[in-house]
Amino acid sequence: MEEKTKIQVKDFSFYYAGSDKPALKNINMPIYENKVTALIGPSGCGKTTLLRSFNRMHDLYPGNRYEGEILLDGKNILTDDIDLIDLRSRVGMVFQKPTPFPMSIFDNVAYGLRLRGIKNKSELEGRVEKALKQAALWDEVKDRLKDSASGLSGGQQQRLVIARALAVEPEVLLFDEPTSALDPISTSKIEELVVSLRDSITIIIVTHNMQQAARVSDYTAFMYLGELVEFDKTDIIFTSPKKKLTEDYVSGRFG
Amino acid sequence: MMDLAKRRKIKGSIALGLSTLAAVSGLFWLTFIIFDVLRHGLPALNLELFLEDPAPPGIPGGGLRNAFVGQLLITGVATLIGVPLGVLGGTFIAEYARGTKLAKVISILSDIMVSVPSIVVGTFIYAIMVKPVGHFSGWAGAMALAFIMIPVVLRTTEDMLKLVPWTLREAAFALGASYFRVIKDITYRAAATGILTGVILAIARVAGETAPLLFTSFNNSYFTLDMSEPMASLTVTIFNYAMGPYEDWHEKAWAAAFVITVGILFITLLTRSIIHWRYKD
Amino acid sequence: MALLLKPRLEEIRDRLIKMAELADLMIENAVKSIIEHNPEYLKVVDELEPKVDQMEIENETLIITTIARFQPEAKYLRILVMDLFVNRDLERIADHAENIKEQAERILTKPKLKEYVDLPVMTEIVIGMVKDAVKALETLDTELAREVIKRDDKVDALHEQIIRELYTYMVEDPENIKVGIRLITVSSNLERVADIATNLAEEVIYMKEGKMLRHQNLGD
Repeated sequence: MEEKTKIQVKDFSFYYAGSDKPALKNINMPIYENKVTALIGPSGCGKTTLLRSFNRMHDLYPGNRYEGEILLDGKNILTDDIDLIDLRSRVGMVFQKPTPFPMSIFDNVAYGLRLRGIKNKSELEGRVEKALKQAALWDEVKDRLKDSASGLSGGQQQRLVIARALAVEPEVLLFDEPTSALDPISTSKIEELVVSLRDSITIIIVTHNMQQAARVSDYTAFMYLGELVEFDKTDIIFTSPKKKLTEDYVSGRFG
Repeated sequence: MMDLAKRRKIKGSIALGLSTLAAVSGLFWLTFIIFDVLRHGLPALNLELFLEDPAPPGIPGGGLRNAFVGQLLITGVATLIGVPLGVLGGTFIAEYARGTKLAKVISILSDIMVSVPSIVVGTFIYAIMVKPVGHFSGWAGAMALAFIMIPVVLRTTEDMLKLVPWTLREAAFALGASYFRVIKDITYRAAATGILTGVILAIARVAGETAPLLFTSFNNSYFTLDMSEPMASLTVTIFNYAMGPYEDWHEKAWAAAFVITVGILFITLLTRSIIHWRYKD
Repeated sequence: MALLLKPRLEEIRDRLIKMAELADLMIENAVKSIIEHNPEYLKVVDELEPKVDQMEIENETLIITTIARFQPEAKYLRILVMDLFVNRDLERIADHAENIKEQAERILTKPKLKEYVDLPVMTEIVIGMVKDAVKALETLDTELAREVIKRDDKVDALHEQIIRELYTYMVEDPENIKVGIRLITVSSNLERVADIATNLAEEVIYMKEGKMLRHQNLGD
């Protein structure tokens, strides 16, 4: 079963503005197509920093510096001539806290489509419905699409945000601790959703919750102090990791 | 130990007593003023007050149509100048220049501007807009009020925009939005109620100003819509009539005071209901 | 979580059922070669043996990783731990088939001692027990599992019967001892397979009800 590489991280280092010390040191790892890859490690290990490099969120803050390459379908996304708007429609992101925009449920999901100049009403309606169905939210909101998104529960809001990201049909979806603000039932709904999305999208998920990584991911990368310690199949990381540091972390001996 | 608890209790009741006293005395004077305005203003109210211009001094009758219209014009133009400038300035320092030194300097200067006595603003506008032209004008009055509004609106806008969680902007960026679209679609919407509240409160504040208008639009006994002429306003009229020697003037001053108080009260209630309506769900 | 775990549980169950089918086939063919006095059937046993061994290792890894990744509780924990036992049990059934095959190879070098009567009956019962135990596992049918456990007595009786009969043959003619002892070993192996089938049935009951039945008399 040979996996197809969607993203290749090559000799990648990252420096935050005004710091000489790299936050990420010489990372090398593949991200396989249509698989779920989990990034785990103790706080401050750089997993979120790495995640935010895949859609170049760090560009929002001047002075941050990338080194090395991140190849998306073989093309380096860290060059200056890359179109960030295009990159971000190919690589979507879901954040820790639900971030519904202050507008209706429909407009939330349609936002990314409208940004891309889609105005045709029936096309918008079709794609909004498709995205909401993919995010397993359609049945709960189909009768109140015009209502404000702030009226939804936390778990519903997070699925709405996922639908919003899905509407623009990204190839890669980044999840930054998507369930840390949610109750257990909403959490398992999101986890099931992540696994079901895997068929069509490459997923990278950062999580503090090791069991979550174990449950939903196909591959796991363990990071520590800005370095990639071990990358392997999740089955192996959680039963017989090769590095002692990984074993200690997974057995709950630190972090 | 018992002693300590007892002492704490005594201290507590003293603090409670003092603050209750302060609240009661504040409330007393407030109701006293409102009641007084009501008592004197209500009987003096009539239709002529709004429909007729002032009669010559000493002759009873007439109204304050010129002052009502002048007040609306001056405040309206001030709002048209002050609100866009304040909102855009607040947007600049809260968004584009967020965290920079320039933003901090503007923010601090605005704070100082807010607390500058309004008469200083009046004399400033007098120096640049009245003196060179040689006469008072409605434009100068509107400009003075706009100057008072700008820092208030700017600071409210800045604060309200800063309250919008940063992740909300990031979420929009992550969908590929430009900064302009993020501000227009996301942060303005999220901060709309707060900014609107700030704008209305700024209007309410300048609507009650007298000092800056004394030096700028001054007064006019005749009805005019020409902003380049001196213009009557309610506040200056109250000032003049209350100082005047005629009983009829005093009555009219009370009536005008009543109208302006009710007007500001109405604006304040409107603001509260907007806040209430927005945060209810 | 259950939604993510269920497909894994189903996969494990399917693999165990497949493995049981192979183990059954091995026993069936090993005994058949003796009954029909034909070494052709042993080829099937040789062919399946490495497959079952491979499956055992794969299943074990799969079950352990599932426990590690999902940290199951209550019902799901019971199922997964029992799956681990079932996996080991099935491999042991295959081992017994291998033992029978080794005996058969030697038995077949000699002429047929007699027409077997009890051996085919016993084999049929034992294979039936394994099949039904696996069927019970598939649907967590505890009634069927309890019924399987009851059949073990019959197998024990048949085993005794076979030993006694072979005794007479061996006493009659010492030439028969060589084959006789080997046939007794075959019967013992079958009897052990029946014990394992009983274990499987008990494991199914534990999965479903959380009751440990081992080393207890069902009649109590």
